[in-house]
Amino acid sequence: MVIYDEFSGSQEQLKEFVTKAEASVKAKEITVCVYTFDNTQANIMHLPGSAVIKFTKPDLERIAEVMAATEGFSNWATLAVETAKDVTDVKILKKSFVDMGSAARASGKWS
Amino acid sequence: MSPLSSFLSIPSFCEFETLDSVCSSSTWVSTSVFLSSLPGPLGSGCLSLSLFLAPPADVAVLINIGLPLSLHEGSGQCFRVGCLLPVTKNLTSRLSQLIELLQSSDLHECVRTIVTALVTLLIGQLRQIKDLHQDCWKGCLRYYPTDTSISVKCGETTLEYDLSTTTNQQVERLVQTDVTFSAYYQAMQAMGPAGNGIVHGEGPSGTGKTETFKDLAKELGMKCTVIKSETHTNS
Repeated sequence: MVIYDEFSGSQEQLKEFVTKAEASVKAKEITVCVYTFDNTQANIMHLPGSAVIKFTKPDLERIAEVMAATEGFSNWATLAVETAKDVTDVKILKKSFVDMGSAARASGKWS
Repeated sequence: MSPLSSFLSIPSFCEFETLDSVCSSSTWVSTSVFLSSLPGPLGSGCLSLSLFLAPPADVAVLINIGLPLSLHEGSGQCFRVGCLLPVTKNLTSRLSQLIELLQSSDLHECVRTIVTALVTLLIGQLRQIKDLHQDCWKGCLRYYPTDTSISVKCGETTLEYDLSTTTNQQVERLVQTDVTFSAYYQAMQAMGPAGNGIVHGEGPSGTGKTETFKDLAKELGMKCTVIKSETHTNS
C-alpha cells in the first residue's frame, strides 16, 4: 500500500503521483490518496472510477471508551461518558486519559 | 510468573476444539487481527487475536496470544461456543484481564503497547458482535486458512495475507468506528476485480484518514509506504 498523504497539488500532479505509485507497487496492492480538503476541492482531484471514502468527525464517546480501557480503568464505559461529555477535541481527550492513567498507576488507586 | 504469563495460561474458555475442526466448517467467517512479532520478554511469537463468527447462531472464537503464527498448521487453540452470549461473556472476561494487566506500573513498555492494541481491538470486536446486523459487519475482514497461507476476504475481494510482513509491524491501532469498517470495505472493493486499486480518503483534520489506511495495511499484512505529497518525502 502506498499512501499519498495530504495531497494538495493539481490533478495533473496527482495523476503523476498515482502513475508512479502504480508502477512501484504490486498489482494486488493499493494506492491511497488522502486529503484534508473540502469536498468541492477533493472532487476535482478524483480520478475517474476510483473509490472515494469520506471521513467525518470522530465518535468521541467511542474513542473515550477505548482510551479509558487502554489506560487501565475497569469502569471504562462509565468513565468515558463522564470524561467525554465536555470535550470536543480528540487530542485533549487522549491527554485526559493518559494523565489519569499515569496518576492511577503511580498511586495504585483505580476508579 | 509475570502478570502476562499468568494471563496467557488462564484457560478461561470451556469448550476447546482443534483448529482443523473449526476450519472444516463451510459456514464460518472471521474477523481477525494479526499483530506484530513480540520483541523482548514475549519472545518471537506473533500475536493474533481472532473472532470467528457464523451469524446468527454458530460462533467460534479463536484467541492466540503470544503464540507463533501458524494458524494453517492448526497449532492455535480454538474455543467454540454455540451462541453469541457466551462469546460476549468470554471476550468481556478476557478484556477485564487485559485491563487489569494495564494497571501494573512495571509493565514493560513494549508489552503495554501490545496489550493496549489488544484492548482496542477487543472492544471493537465486542461492538461487532453487538452490531452484527449493522453495516460494520460488511467491512470486517474475514480470514480463511489455506494449505499454505491465509486468504483475506471482504465483499467481492479476496487477497492473500502476506505472512512475510507480519514481523516488525507497529502494533498501535486506531479506535475502530463505523467509519473504519466503511473505509475497509470500500478500500477492499477498490483492490478487487471491480476496482482500479485507487482510493481517495477525504475529510477534516484529525478524523483518522491516514491511520485508518495504515491499520488496513496491517490487517492485510501489507507493507505500507506513506509519501508526504507536499514535500515528496518518504516516511
